[in-house]
Amino acid sequence: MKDKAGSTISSKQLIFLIIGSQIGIRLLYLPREITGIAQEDAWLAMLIATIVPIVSLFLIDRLGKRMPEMGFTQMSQALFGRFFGSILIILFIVYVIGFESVVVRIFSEVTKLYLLPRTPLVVIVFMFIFTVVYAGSKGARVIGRLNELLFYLLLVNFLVLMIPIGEADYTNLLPVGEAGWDGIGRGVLIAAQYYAGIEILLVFYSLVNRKDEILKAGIIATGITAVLYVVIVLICESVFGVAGMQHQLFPGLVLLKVVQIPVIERLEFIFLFFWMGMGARPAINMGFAASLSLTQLLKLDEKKYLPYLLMVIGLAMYILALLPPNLLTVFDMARYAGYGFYVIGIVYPLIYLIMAFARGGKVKQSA
Amino acid sequence: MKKISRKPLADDQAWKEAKQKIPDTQLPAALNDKMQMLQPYLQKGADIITRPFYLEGEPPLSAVSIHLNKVIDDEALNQHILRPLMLNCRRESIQDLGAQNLIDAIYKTSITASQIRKINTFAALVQTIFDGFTVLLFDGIEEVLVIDIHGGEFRAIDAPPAEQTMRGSREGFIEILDVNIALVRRRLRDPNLVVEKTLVGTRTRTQAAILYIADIADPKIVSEVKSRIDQMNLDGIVASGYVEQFIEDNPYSIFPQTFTTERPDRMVPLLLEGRIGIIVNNTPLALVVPALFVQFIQASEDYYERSIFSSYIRILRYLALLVAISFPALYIALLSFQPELIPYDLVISFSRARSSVPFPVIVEALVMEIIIQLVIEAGLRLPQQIGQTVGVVSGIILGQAAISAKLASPIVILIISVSIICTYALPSASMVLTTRLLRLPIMLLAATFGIFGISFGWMIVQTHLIGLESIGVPYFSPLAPMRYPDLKDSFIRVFLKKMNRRPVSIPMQDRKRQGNDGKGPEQQ
Repeated sequence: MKDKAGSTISSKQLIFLIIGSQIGIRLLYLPREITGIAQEDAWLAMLIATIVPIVSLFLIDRLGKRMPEMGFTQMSQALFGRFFGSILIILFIVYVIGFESVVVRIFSEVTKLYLLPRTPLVVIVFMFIFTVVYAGSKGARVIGRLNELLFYLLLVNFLVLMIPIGEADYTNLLPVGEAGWDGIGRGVLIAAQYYAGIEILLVFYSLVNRKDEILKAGIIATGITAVLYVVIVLICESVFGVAGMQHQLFPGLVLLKVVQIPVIERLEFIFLFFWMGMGARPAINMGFAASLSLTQLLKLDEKKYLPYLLMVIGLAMYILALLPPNLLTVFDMARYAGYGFYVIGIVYPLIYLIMAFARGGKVKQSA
Repeated sequence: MKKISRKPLADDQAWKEAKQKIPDTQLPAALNDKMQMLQPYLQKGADIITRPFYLEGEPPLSAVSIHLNKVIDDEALNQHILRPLMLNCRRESIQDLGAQNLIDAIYKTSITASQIRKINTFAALVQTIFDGFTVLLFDGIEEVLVIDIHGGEFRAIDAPPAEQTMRGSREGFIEILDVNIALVRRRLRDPNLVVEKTLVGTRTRTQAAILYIADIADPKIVSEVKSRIDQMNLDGIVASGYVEQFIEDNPYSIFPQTFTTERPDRMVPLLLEGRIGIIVNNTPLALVVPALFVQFIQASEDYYERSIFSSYIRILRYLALLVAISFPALYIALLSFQPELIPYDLVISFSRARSSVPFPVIVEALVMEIIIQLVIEAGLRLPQQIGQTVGVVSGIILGQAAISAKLASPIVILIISVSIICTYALPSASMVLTTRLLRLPIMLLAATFGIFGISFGWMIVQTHLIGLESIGVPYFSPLAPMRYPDLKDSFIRVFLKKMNRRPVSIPMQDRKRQGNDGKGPEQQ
């Protein structure tokens, strides 16, 4: 009920924060990527892949329990010493910039493709980065609230995506197990990358006001994300069929064109109204996490300098987003960024935990 | 909670000196000496009336009454002060009472006015005269009697012009603070209703009252509001708008962060929810803080009508807000960027209507928008009869002329008019201003970036709203942060019977509003 001073978020907001960091523009092309490998069993792969974020969640939670009040930067420096700790943080920031610049680029490309064919990409990317910096500079509390509100607004978008369900042909889902264990396994490896966003908990752990509810919140968030992902995969598969989907760059968007509705003609209309919120949400969260880590690394006053550092990070995203020559290169980059998630989401908490065990009780004194 | 603290200004000292310019000395006993000291102040104001008189006796006691012309109730002065003192009171008889102090005896036996106090310093004497009290000076007595018989001419209590309702009371606040407080007190006879008066403005010395319910309002917010008002250090205020601008958290925001109302029956329920009212003398508009965004979409009538109808009207108002801000923008965006999203037949009629207009849509819409805004502004200040004429002339003749001169298409006129009507469907005048202003940038964004621009604009506005605070309370609550119990009274209004708890969006001490829900004092 009462907002505590400073920048804490509630565990309820954490749920929305994690969902917000996971679901973004990727929702629109994920069915194609996964069906490309796991065929008809893409939805199964998507479901099995939840193991990865859950493992990540458990690891981060164990780690956080050992040092609940320490921020990510302090924790790294306490465990690995100033030098190696700083390197780990910088790597994290580089990962965020890389990952989100890909998201920004894909988002801008879609915008250009469907909405503004004659507007230069430079301008669209700028508007996007502007939103990220503006929202991110308002601090953790506002970001928590923003995610909460956007979740409900974007649920509308999701429902719009579900309308073509009437056109679905369920035989497209059969036979189950067509891809074989090999296909499903490789599908899971790709699908797990779409749960990237859970690693934001590394930074936000110390900002949540009730630590005992974090695990529960994380599981709920991953559950909701998984349900939304599986539903979208199922709809795309059953509407387009596996083979048909491979020809569409963004099957999620094509879904909107399937059904015609009187008066407002096409559903895209409602969808586009929340377009910015949908695209910007993960970048806002992750951008904030990165700039918060950076302020802590540079030992600056959070309130005063965070907006400026976020501008720097935004600028880096801007430049990196405009570097790839075309969309295909971007999708390649997206795959690399996806593997980066394994490093940040699984390897990071694992080595932190091992280090914490190795150091035992000494950590707290040195902090 | 964000504290607004101002660094002591360089001339703070000068302010204090100006305040203390009047020597704070004890008053002398002799009447002539007192009048001598007062002379420099009395001769500056032609509206200060001094009335010498005697209390009968051997020797008679000479006295003077001083007051400001037409600020006090002349009838009361004559009937309740001068008449008893001059006709019925004898010096000897007072002394015979054996009263230790002559002045106590005078006011206890001879003055029938009810609000009397004594002062004995010169500074206080001067200040009370100019604050509009009646003072009585007696020869040979240091102390001075101060009598409150404020009165004179003022506007009668009237229906609030900007907040009419069908079913509510017809009483609105007026310019006199004490009457306004009484209007609230009549509706809220709780002994816990606290009324604190303070003076704002070093020269105007305007009275302001802070009202709250002691066992509901959050003491932290109360003290923050008080300290913000105390920090106001300017020479004068003439309206509650001054206070609003000094206590708000984000002066750069276009959204109103204090709620203004001229209805006492609107203020009372807000006080009951733990908010704090500020009434400023000489202004019929009271302020209520902390304010929430949803509050500006709610009207007092929502609570008087049955809940089904008020919920319907509320949803309509949200729709109106949406339409008022983005309808013209949407038209521009669809027509210039995504005509494929408009149904086929409609596109044909749109383009037929637009075929004779030589400008781009945005120019056409902007021109019409600005003309209509000017018409509103022109009609606002004119006398009512002429104002109506301006409205009719511009509505019918200008619109028709614009169409036949091929300056605008009928659709643009329709769309702008609908958005204007929607603007005025909002119950709060401050939110109307916000909407009028917000429409323009969204239109420009739509003209440059189409629907993407509108989406961008909304995203920025939404983020801005979420970041706002009113006296440290999240402004966009209960929507973000989402307070599920408060949604009962946001987009819809559920049955009054079901609202057992006070809204949690406003920090307060006592959540229970009604009923026996197992936690109330009734079942202890």
